[in-house]
Amino acid sequence: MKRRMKVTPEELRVTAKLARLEVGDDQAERVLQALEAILGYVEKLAEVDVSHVEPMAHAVAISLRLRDDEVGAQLSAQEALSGVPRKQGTYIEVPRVIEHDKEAS
Amino acid sequence: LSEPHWQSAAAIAAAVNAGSVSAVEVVERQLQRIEAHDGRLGAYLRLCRDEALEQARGIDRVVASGQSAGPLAGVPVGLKDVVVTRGIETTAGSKILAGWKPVYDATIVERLRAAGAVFVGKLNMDEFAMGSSNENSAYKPCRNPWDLARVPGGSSGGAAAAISAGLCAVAIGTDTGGSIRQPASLCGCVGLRPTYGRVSRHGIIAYASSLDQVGPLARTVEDCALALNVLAGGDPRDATSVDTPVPDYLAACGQPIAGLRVGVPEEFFAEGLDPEVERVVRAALQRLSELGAIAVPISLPHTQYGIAAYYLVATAEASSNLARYDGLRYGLRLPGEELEAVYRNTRSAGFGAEVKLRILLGTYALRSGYYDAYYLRAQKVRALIKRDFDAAFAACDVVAAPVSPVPAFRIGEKLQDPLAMYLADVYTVPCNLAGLPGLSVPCGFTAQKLPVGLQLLGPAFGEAALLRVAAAYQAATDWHLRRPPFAEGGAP
Repeated sequence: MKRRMKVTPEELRVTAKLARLEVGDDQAERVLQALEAILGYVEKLAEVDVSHVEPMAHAVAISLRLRDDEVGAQLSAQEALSGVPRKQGTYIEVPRVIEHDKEAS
Repeated sequence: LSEPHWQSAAAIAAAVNAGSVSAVEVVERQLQRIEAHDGRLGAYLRLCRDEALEQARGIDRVVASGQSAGPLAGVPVGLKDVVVTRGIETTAGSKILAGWKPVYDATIVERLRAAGAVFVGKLNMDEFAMGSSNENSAYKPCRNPWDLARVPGGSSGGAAAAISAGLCAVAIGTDTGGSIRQPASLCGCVGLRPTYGRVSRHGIIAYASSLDQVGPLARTVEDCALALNVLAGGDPRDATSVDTPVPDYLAACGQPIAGLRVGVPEEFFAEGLDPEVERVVRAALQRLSELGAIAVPISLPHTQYGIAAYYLVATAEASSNLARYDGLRYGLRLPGEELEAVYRNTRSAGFGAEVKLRILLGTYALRSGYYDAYYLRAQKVRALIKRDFDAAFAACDVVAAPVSPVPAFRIGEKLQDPLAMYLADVYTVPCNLAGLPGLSVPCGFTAQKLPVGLQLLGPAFGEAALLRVAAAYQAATDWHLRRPPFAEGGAP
């Protein structure tokens, strides 16, 4: 494992964008400090020889289970959408995601 | 049934089934006690008074008709607010889910209800189960019944505090990195984290899916066994649950432990262990020897890498699991000019500081260019930690060690230093990384009268052995009968 580079404010900005989070200027320093401390600490994993080790994703061997293709108990659309903060009928309201194309119309 | 709030679940269910006390009376008195005392403690986020009494009336009708109302008949149960309950607000301790009323029950809620359990309320917790002190609850702090200036531990802090203060007979918690065992140790009650796959997680709000497990807390080992009898078993709605047959865990309690090999890992008594905690735990190991167990020195050499591996795996999984809180489908929604702004504004306002930090850490560790060095390497170290345990269980039947290197700390003491808080999980995370069952049983007090737990770890699906050892220990000691000063003379 190569020596780690310090987390820069720019890297924090990119990471926050990927995480769909806003890190305000007033929080950035505290977050950078915490990330530095934790990433510095986890560097100790570099000491471990893992060259012949398979990664472990799960504690138990999990095989895909199939069931018979039968209709069971299920929620109605109204029930399933009952927690939606903004909706119209059975549709979830979102800001426009497709730009209006003048030539096509 | 005198002082029903200190009775065991087993005793309550027996009395209710025999008709010598009504479930309504048990539940009403439990609710009154919570209403009288929880203002100072903060164990509950909300009570389910009407639903609980309705459930209790149903149980009394079953008993009146001459049938058994189940092994948990009339037993007041508190649910960590990470357990999804139909029609009852479920927040996971987060503002982002404020007001959310689920349209279904977790599988374990169905199982507990069918067994006669009565849900008295939803318990306080660290937001999305991220924390070791309950201080990350977005709603209110929870205090330790043994010292109100101290934390109850976390993330199932409300669960452990409620049990120790007599505010429910059984509590349901979750344990991703120690979140059942550590608060049980710090509050002086019994907490059991079952094997990964032993209990269904359908309807348990996810934190880190390869590590999360749900389990019981109670004042006695037998009550944890009784609860596990109800909770355990495969579930078609949880693909990670396992169909391995469920033994009678209660039958394991009361069996002698003579000749049983108890492994003592030297790495769990290393630098950083509070001398008072060490003294109490060593005395408990001595007691197990007096009961006929054979102490076997063992080594778990990768223990020192547990925290680093855990906080990479857990945060990486959390960053993925918590992507679902986008403002569209449930809970909080903030306006935004475009879709990404809705996501960003909602998540930035709805998540607390620690949750954001862990999402950022996990996102960072999964980024291209960093994945191999962080997440992949952590998964490989995880395999080595599992291998350590496999080797250990060739030489011993259970492992015994401290749960937490320190007793309950003061509220605010570690809050400004996330890494210091993480390091306190050093003895609990290896169990989660390896997917094993673990238990904390009260084993004494520090000079400052703070409870200390003895941790027992077993091989996969070895819960019965843990319960057997813990029950034998509890039968020979009276730590579990001590009541915190908070509760003295507090019966309404």
